This record gives sequence, structure tokens and C-alpha cells, in this order.
Amino acid sequence: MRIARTLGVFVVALALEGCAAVGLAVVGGAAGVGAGAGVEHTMNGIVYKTFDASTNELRFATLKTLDHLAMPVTADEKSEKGWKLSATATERTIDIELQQLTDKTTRMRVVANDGQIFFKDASTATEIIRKTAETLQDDRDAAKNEPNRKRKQT
Amino acid sequence: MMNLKQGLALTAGLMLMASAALAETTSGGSGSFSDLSPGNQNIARALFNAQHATANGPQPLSLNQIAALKGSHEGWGEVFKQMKAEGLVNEKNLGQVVSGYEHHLHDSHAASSNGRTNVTTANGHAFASGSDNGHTPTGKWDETGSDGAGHGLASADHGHDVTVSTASGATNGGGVSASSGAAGGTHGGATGHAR
Repeated sequence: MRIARTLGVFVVALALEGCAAVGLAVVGGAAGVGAGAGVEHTMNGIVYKTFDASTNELRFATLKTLDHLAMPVTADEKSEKGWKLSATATERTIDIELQQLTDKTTRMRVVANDGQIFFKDASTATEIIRKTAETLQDDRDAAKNEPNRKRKQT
Repeated sequence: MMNLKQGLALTAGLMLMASAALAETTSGGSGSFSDLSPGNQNIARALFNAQHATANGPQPLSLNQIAALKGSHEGWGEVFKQMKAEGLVNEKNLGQVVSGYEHHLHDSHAASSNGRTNVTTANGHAFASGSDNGHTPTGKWDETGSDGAGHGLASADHGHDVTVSTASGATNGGGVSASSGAAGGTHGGATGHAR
């Protein structure tokens, strides 16, 4: 009976392995003054960040970032709550979920699966979020400078 | 007779499953961009980068989706026309898109090689800038996040390059102050609070 109970707990723990709410969140990042600030890590290697961007903008910034990082995109589809993307890297699959919180706020969840059940590559997931934040900022800067550039050309 | 009906039903079921699998592959669009030649990949990238994402505008296409469009059209000009018609690109013609992309590539290469220091605050304003010996940032990234409740710290050694930019308010950055080592070798540090 005890064995069954222990096994039950183990199965439930396995099932909840991917759930953010269960992981103890650790907020921060040492170089986090910039794009990395506000990145939330969970103990199970899943990384989150909320952006002040629409799902549309964030999806495009994510696609650009994955391209810059030479991680081929394998899936890019709408989900119930926003958008879902997948990419690959050496012995890794990257799962990204963009959850629309409001029209102008989107939460990004990145899981870099390390090829084994329990192991997640948190550093790669963190880098993807950091680079996406940079791309988003670059795009906005470019959009701001665009009218000036056009004025200079004419 | 019954067997024939069962066989037909089984065949129909299998065909449905096959079409569903095919649809899944198409929506994923896996591998189509990587199938392009290097030259075509450059054009696809140029079109990809020329898109502008807005909150309520059309969904920008992924590289695979652009590559798939190329597959169904005669040439890149047609792909460009379709993207322009959908409001995804603003350029006048494909030439502008490609030359703009090349400029962008050169600019980013120049920016990465001149070793400038740029520090921007949470609202995107430039705070400090300078140049140095071109060293790369040495800020630590602690993947365990052990630095505590969102207090970020980036530091630079003598004359090292610091580039700090924020996620445009998404990080809710508080005060950011920084000074960077110009070639002379002053200490550089950037501290900030983030909630």
C-alpha cells in the first residue's frame, strides 16, 4: 500500500514537471540590468518573461531571434491562448509559448529540453528570452528612426 | 459484402489520417527554408526582415512561410507583391528590400566592430555612450538567478565594453546608471533595479 502511494506521488510529480506554478520561481539574472531583467526562472528550468508587446510583435521578434541564433523553426502555430513556436538546436528542442495577457502584454515561456525527461537547459532558454528582448528593442528603435531616415533620403 | 464495406471504411479512415498528418506538416512548414539555396535564403531573409510587426496589423510571415510562398510562385517578385498587398512590407520594390537588408547587415557589422558602449534606460533613452578597446561584455549571467529579487548588476573591467539595453519597459527597469571604461581604463559599472 505504501509503495503504491509513493508511486502515486511520483507519477503526480512527473505529470506536474512542466507546470510553472509548481516550480519555485527565482527572479533575476546577474546581468539583468538590460534585456534580461525581469526574467523569471523556475527550479525545473523553465524560463518566463512578460513583455510590454502584443503577441504579434513578440512572435515576430522571437522568429527573428531564432533565426539569428541559427535555431531552425519547426512549428509556428496559433494556440488557444496566443502562439506556439518550436525550434531545434543540437540535441535540444526548444518550446516557446506566447500567452496573450492583454492587447499590449504578452508572457513568454521558454523550455529548452535537453533530450532527457528531467533535464532542461535553462541557460539556453534564458539566452533566447534575453535576445528576444534585444530584438524587440532594436525593432522599436528602427521603427522610431525610420521616419527620420526617409526624411533624410528625400 | 460486409467485408467490402469494412474495407472501404478502413481505407477512408486511413486517408483521413494521412491528410491530417499532411496538414500538420504543412502548418509546421518544417524544412522549407533550409531547402532553399544560399542565395534564395538571403532574399527570403531580406523579405523576412523587411516586415513590420504591429499590434493589430497582419501576422508577419516566418522564414518557412516565405519559402513556401516562393514555392508556389514563379519568382521572388511575385512573393514580394503578395506580401506588399497584404501590408507586410512597405518598400517600393524587391530591390529596395534586398539593398535595405544589405545595409542593415553592414550597419550591424560596423556597430559590432567599433566597440561602442551604449546604455539605454528602461524607456529607451540613451543614457551614456563611449568607445573602448572593443572587448566584449563580461557581465555575469547567473542561470540560477541567485542574485536575488530582481536587482541586476553588470560590471565591466578596465576599458571593457558595456552594452546595456532594456526590453522597453517590459522589464520595468528602475534607475539605471552606468559609466564605462573608455580606452584609458576606468572602472565601468552599471547597476539598476528591476521589478
